[in-house]
Parts: sequence; C-alpha cells; structure tokens
Amino acid sequence: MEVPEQAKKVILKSGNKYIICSCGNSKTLPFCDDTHKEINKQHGTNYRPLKIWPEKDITLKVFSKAWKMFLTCEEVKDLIEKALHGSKVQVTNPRNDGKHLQAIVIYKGFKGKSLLEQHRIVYKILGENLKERIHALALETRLE
Amino acid sequence: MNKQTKEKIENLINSNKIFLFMKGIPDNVSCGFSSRIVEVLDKLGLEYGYSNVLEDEEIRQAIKEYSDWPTIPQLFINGKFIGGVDIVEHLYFSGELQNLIEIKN
Repeated sequence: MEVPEQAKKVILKSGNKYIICSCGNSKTLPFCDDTHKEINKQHGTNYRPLKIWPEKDITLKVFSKAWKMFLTCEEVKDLIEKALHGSKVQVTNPRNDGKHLQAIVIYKGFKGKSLLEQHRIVYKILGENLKERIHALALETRLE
Repeated sequence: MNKQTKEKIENLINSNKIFLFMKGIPDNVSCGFSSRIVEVLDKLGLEYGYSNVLEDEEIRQAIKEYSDWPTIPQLFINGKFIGGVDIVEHLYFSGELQNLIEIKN
C-alpha cells in the first residue's frame, strides 16, 4: 500500500489523548492547535478535530488532504519583511502550484555582505519552514 | 554531526576540484534546482564529482549542517562552499564562476 509522501509519522502512547487537525490550518500538524476555532468563526465552517485515545502504544502515519502543508506567498513575504525591518519582499508562485516559490528580497541591510551571506540571512529567517512548509524557493537578494 | 560523517563529506569535496551535492545523478536529475546547476556545469564543459543525496540520508542531512545552508543542491569548488542554484547561476552569468575555476587551476 502506498502511503503519501506528506504523511506524518506519529507515536501515540496509551493513557494519553491526541487531537488531530481536520481543518488543515494548524501550525503543529498533524496535531490540532485550535486554529479551527478561528477559521470557523471567520468562515462559518464547522471543523472539528479528531480525538484519539490509544489503548496501547502505537506508531502510525496520518495524512489529510485538507492539511495546508505549504506556506503561501503572503506568509513567506510577511515572515521576511517582519524580520528585516524596511525590506521590500516580493514572493510569487510562477507555476501556480503553491510549491515552487520565487522571492526577491530588497534590503539595504545587505550592504557589505556577500551574496552567500545575504541568502543565509533569508534562509535563517525561514528556518524550519524550509524543511516541510516550503517545497522550493528561488531566491534573489538585492540592496535596492 | 559526528566526526566520521564530517570526514566523509570532506573526502567527497576534496575528491574533485568541483563537487556537487544533488538530487539524482547528472544523467537523471530528480530536481529542477539540481538540474539547473548541472546545466551550468555542462555548459562550461566542466568535469565534476557528485553525490546523490537521495541515496544517502546521512549525507543529505549532514551537508546542510556542514555548510550552514538549508537546501540542496550545493556546489563546492576547491573544497569551498560556493552556494546553491541561485548563487551559482548568478556567478555564471556574471562570469565570476568562470574566473573562480580558472584562477585556481
């Protein structure tokens, strides 16, 4: 049986309760972080997470097509602009697949830094997101 | 990263003047970004060593730590980390990559 590549492996221990995201917007996928409450309020939806009480320790893989795995262009733009005060950031999704993003970061603070250092600065801001929530990012950095 | 893995990486990047950590192999590249670096190297007619990180999970994770760079592909010249595809293409179009390779020949 083929398990989707995006499926998350979780270890569930008996005696605990686990809550799995169903709205897709949790920041802690596969687990619920109560974001659905906000989503329900905003959109009038009625998302409810899935609760699990394992009777014995179990390892399993879970996935839902509702999960919003990848950051949007706006989210990437916000992350960088907030971290680099006064920067101008443009993020596009040329293939329109939500996965291959392209970012242009214009920031005076790059002055005196090599291209390598400039890119490292942006990568550091995106941090862990680069592992799972950004599939591919073409990056261009400039002073102005 | 343990000492053994670090040595493995250093042996790889010193095994060839130009060394590429990539996804897939030059004749069968598994990722658009890797493919663009291969294209640049091929256009320049360069010979290079490569490591397919899809076949070595240990290297795949360790190389990111080694070069303090979160993505693959990664190009090394003379054992020194040069960058990923954006930087390599930038250096290629500006002619700096060609200089980098020739000067140290």
